[in-house]
Amino acid sequence: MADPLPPERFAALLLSAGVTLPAAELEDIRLAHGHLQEMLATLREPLSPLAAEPAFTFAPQDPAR
Amino acid sequence: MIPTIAAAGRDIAHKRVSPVELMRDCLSRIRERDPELHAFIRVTEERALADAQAAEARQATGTLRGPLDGIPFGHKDIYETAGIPTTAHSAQLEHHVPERDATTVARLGAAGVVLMGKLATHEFAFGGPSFDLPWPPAENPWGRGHFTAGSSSGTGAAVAAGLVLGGTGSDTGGSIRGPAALCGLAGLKPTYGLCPRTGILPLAQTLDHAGPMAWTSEDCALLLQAMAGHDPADPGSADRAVPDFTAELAQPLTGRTVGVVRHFHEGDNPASAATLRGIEDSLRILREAGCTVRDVTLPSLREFNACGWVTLTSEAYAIHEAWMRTRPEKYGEFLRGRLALGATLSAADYVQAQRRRRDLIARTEAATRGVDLLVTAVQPGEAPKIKAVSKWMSLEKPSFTIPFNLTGWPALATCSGFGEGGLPVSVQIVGKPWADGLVLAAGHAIERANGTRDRRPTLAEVAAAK
Repeated sequence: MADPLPPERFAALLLSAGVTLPAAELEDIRLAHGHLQEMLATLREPLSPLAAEPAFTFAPQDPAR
Repeated sequence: MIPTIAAAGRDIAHKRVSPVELMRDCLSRIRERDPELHAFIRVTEERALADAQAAEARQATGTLRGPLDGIPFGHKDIYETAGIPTTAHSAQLEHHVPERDATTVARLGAAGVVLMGKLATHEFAFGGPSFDLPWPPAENPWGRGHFTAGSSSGTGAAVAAGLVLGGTGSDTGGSIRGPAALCGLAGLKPTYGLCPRTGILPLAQTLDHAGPMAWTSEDCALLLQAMAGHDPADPGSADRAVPDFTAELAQPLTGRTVGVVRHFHEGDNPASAATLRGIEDSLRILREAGCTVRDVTLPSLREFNACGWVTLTSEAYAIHEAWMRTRPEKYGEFLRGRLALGATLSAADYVQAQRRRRDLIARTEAATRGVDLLVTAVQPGEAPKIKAVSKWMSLEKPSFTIPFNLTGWPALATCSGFGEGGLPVSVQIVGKPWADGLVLAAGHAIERANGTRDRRPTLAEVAAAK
């Protein structure tokens, strides 16, 4: 697991999202956030060359169909 | 003796069984067992009697609607039911009474199922097992105090204990296959787009699948037949012909190639000895049915899980954002915590997950060229004690099931044996898109050969496991 964010930084992250949680639950969620950070690092490992992925979701439909 | 849907349907068709008596048998088991199992949020006794009497009238006049007519059934409580509360097992929706049935609820109703009630779920199909909700979590009929897995927890418990003969589930990261595995039944996550989600409370729209859970793959085929088919109200619903899934159960498996994703269950998340034995036994059965078996290597579970978790929590948070800001106290602690993780993710994080998803699908397709079916684990072992399940379990150990929510491929969990503790273990069979019939045929072949369908959890076992 990646090192969790410092408590004040994690609290600020939630606050910026407009979420206020019971103080007793925050520390547990902060520690679990370390797992999420590790996942985010995995997602940022290099993929194929940028020019090889010009689109990934949008496929236009033929309006005549 | 608790019948399968297929057997009960034949008995109803030949007037050997009365739908009202079949319903009363289930009701009797609900009264006896559900006070300990908590599989039901709400038993709809009056509706069940009316449905069963209507089926019995059709039986008398030779106008039965098919093999599901008169079958006692339950819906996971995220499937909307007109005039019947649909709570998502949450205080947020404790008094929510929908005006319309979900498309799949309406289709199953039209096929004649008898609605016994609404079944427990992890809160909004994501938060559980939780003890701080208006209803307790479902428990596993194979062992009192054991986890059912989730999120279709009530359906798993109710089918295993014979409180209903079949039920609906939803699967965003494994929520049909997990409870099917730990409760010892069959559960299919169909191909993405096969079963419409209209009227089902969403968790993460690009990963959500609706599907059947029942004692056997044959029963799942019967239920899938009623649930599948295009619905223009669901943008993810595919407009394509629905095959005859029961006919496809009889297809020969000779000449099919089975890929074993051994690194999933032996390396990425090592499974128990009983789970590994069940997988090898299932492979033996498929070999004897004429399949060729070889190992395949897919991207790691670590990669799939990173992509799946970021996608799921981002989409789930977007759905729940308003309530997380204004009334978070109405969620249970587990769901509140999991959704809070979604609040910390950025737009860039979500886009990175979608880029990775496309790449994972391409690599999975490339690694499985010439392969018809994949086999791996569903769960690492038997059900743990429910009180031992951590809030972050699914973050700590990678899931065997979420890869196929990301690809959208059909995936079945079915019982492959029993572990040292006497609880079921399971095998996962995965097919290519729209090969749902082949997946069910493989599950059917395994179940007929492995003898597990002859054993049900008994009340004595439940008592002994206390």
